[in-house]
Amino acid sequence: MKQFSLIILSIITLLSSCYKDIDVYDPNTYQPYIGITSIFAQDSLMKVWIYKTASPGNFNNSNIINDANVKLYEDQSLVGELTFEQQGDIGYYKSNIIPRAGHTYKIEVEALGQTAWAVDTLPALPEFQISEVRIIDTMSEYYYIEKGSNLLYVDIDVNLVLLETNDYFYAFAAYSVIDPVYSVIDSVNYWYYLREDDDFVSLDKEQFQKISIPVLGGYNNFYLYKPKFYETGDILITFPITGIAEKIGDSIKINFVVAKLSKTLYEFYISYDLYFRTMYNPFIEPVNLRMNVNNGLGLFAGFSYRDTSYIIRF
Amino acid sequence: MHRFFFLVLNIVFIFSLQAQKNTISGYVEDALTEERLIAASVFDVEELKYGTLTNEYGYFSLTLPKKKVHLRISYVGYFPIDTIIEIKGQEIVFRLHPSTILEEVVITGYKQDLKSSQIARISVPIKMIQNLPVIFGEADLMKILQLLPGVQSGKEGTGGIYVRGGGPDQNLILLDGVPVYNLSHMAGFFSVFTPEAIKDVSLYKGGFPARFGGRLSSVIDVRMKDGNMKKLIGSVSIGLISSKFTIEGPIKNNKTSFIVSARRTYYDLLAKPFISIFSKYEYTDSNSYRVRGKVNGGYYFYDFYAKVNHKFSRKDRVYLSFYSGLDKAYIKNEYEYEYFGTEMENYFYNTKTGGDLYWGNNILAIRWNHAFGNKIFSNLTLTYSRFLFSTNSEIDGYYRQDTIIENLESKLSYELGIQDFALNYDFDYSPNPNHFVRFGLNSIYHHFQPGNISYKLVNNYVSLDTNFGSTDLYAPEFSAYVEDDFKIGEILRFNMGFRLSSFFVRKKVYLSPEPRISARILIGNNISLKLSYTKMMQYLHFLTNNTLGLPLDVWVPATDRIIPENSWQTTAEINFLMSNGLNIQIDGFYKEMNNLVELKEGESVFSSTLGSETTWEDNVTQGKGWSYGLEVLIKKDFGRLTGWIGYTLSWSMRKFQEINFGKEFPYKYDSRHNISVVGTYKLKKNITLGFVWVYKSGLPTTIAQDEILDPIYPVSNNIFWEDSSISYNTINYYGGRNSFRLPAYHRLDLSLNFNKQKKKGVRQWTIGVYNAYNHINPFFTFLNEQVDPETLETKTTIRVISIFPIMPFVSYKFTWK
Repeated sequence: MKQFSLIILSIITLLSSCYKDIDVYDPNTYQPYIGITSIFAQDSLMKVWIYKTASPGNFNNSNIINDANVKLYEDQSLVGELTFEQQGDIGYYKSNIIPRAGHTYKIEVEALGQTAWAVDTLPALPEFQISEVRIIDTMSEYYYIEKGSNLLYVDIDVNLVLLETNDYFYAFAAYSVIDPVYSVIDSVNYWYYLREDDDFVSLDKEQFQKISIPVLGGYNNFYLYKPKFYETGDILITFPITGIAEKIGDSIKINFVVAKLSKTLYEFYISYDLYFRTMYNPFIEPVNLRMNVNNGLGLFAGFSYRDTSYIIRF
Repeated sequence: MHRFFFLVLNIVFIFSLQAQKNTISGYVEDALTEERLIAASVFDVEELKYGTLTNEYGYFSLTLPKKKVHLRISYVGYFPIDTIIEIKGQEIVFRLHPSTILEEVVITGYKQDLKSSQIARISVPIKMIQNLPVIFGEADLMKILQLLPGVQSGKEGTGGIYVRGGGPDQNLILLDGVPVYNLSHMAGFFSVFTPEAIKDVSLYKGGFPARFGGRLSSVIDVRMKDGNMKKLIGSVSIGLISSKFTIEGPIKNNKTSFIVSARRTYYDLLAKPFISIFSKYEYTDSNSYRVRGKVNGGYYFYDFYAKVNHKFSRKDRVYLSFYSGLDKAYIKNEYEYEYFGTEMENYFYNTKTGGDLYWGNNILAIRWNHAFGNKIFSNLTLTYSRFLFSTNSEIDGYYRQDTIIENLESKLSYELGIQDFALNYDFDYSPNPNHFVRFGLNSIYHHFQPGNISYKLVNNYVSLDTNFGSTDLYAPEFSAYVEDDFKIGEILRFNMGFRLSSFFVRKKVYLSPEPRISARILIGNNISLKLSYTKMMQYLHFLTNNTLGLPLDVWVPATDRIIPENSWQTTAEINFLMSNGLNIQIDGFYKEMNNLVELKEGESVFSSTLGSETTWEDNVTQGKGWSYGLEVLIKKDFGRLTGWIGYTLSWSMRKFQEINFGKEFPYKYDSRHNISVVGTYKLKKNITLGFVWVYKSGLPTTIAQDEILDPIYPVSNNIFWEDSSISYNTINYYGGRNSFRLPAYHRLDLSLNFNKQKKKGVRQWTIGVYNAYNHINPFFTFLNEQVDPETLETKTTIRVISIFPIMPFVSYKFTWK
């Protein structure tokens, strides 16, 4: 009986081991494209990463291109050439041109005997005003917080102006810094995030679609909001914020950012979110990333933002 | 447009009434079994222009301009009857004797096809199916249909059907006129149809007559045998995977007969001894604990067909047919843990967990055939069809420590399905030699169950019993149709039809006119040119998962938010009958499909069930598809060598605003070239060689094609702060939905059938080999990373897994007569 079992098991093993590998990713035969990566904003230095794409599993530092000819156009006029700057493992191209809200930028890259280009327009600056900040709760000695910390719940009421009917590509990020001990915002430890719960005070969930996405900062729990209806005018939105604050001073400064994304960037974020949420799910077709580089791959897109501060005194 | 159709049909009808002719009607039957023969030809030998075919119930009505006529009655595989009859309005039953296939009869059959206005229809030879090599030696109807031009198969080994670029839901699959929703067993490797119980199969790929509706791409009309009226006969077949038997015979001679056919796999029974050896375990640490348990599981499927029919009179016959099929996988686990500590520390717990997964169809049809006079034949049918998919898991256990006992009972069930009740009344009317009219009314009451979860939890603290998931939907569908097959002179023949369908759901009413027209132009005796235009509506949508073979597909209705699908198709066909008896059929087609339903990017069929506020309607999007191509079929049905060569060149595309960024993309079964060579060759009187060779261009799939920088993660790509640790991440880029082509699929299957006449019947041994030259055909693919042990470099490849390499098979069958 056991011999018979062994025979059966051998047959099953033989049958299940039938596979072949298709070497479509051979780096020697792969034809690379020019890759461009840049997410830029108004009043900030534009940085552009340029590289040659690789077959999956074969990307390394040598893929960074440092001798490309990179031209930048603003509203169809050549405004300068970008120069390469090595930094860390890789380097990037930077421009002396500071992008401005409401203007269109085109980047043109010559490398690998190819020319790739991409165009994006920075949206107009968002119009908003904080109308009220309410402290909902502070809790001491919360079980997962270090001793001496507070958990702070704040609602911020914001009046946001939608200017155009297609003006629906907004992202909102909120954070706070402790004032006066941590007055700079360069430490990510003190980036607070929008509270993820269902108790929106006045944010109309029917009116907005919320997408959890590493927007702007590269950290989760910043949210991208997409208005579902194309109505213009003032809308009041309440953002619930949760922060962990050490009780050092008697006040907390909350910096609040509203960013308006270009359509390209907005669509990229949507696809990026889906890409990661579904990549290991066998029931779902793989989701591709939204790119905008012509004759190449990558993303060249921007956003315009405004921020404002609000100090809460205890 | 609609008025025009009504006008034309009315004129045709009025003209037909004016011509008072001589009518003969009746049935064509098998002389040995009295099984009625579908599409047998009855024609005037002297004036070939007068002739007809029997309908789905073996009935014909032929009206002729003369009283005395020389008729020939023929059917493939039977000796023809030549008879001179004086027509007196009588009803006659012609009984044909079976024979080996005669060239003359086949060519007569081909000529009927040539002359018919029906376009893009292929009749599948049932006898041939049983001699062709198939996987595991299990003769399978759907796998043979996949070998016809214009029909694309799904994954390797599975029975999915994709006709002319359409989806699997767009096929109207009828078993004795009742829609079958789930075709597959064993994750799609077997279809539900066992050839022993089947009398006739016709595949319509285009030029759909008005009597068919409700799907966009094809009609597969499967008719069960009625049962031998004269004597008890049957067959038993034993294969590697399953065994089956068929038995048929008279209940009352020449009045009532029955057929019963059943099949069951025995994988679970064979595996049981192995499972009992390996599934028990027990281990003990005498000082601290003891664990013991056992696992048990299995899988099987079965099919059961039964049919009874009774002739009340020459004009009245009643049929009752039933089908039930089920796949079931189950697992049971029993586990005990006992901890020995101090008296107070001792504790013990016992859990029994179990789960099962099953799906299947149940179909019931009651049918009454009645002939009004000798010109009108009616068929009244009441049917019930149900498909159900269900999965359950349960835990039953308790925990004991000292005097404390805690119980736990939980059960989670998930069910989806569809059930239909239908009432149809169909009429055939043959007013004169030039017209054959069909009309009728159909009504269906659909009950959709898009996925419900029930959950029960009982323990010492909680008692919960709840249901959640998608809401059931109920929708009636009504349709009326009329079609007229008529001739104008000898050259032209038309089939003009009109179908009006309606669908009621959530207070929304959809009303859809569906014109159908086919035309035939006869060019000489041996060539015909056919053209057709058809419009089709489909009120049912299908949410399908593309990756697994389980029938987790959900049937849902058109609603007020998700509108019905529709299509239009044109086909041009040229049919040659060569002097050597070969029949060549060349079809060109263009099909456009609108309002197709697909899951949105990132959604699955489960998105609207577990913990979601959305419904399935939120997770789907609608778009369009189109396909076009050329099909060639060369067939030979007589002589020692029989079979066909099929070739298809086709394109099938899709475009959805919310998928692939609105860009068009190839359908997942868009295969450019398909070739099939299928045949049987009689080596000796009792030995037949069967062979199948298939070639298909690689199917498209979505797979990573490039590696790029992740735009989010050059960390310094953040405008709000500078990060000194400059690094990067990379990400894979897919070139677009279905933008990568897998390697071509091809394989050769061979079989040898040894027949021996025994005292009580015929014994048949079949040996064969599937995928004879062991080609690795893709079943699924994934990215595979391997590290070279010497260089430590990682190499990424696409790994193609094939689950069917070279596979020998053997089966035994005994047919007693």
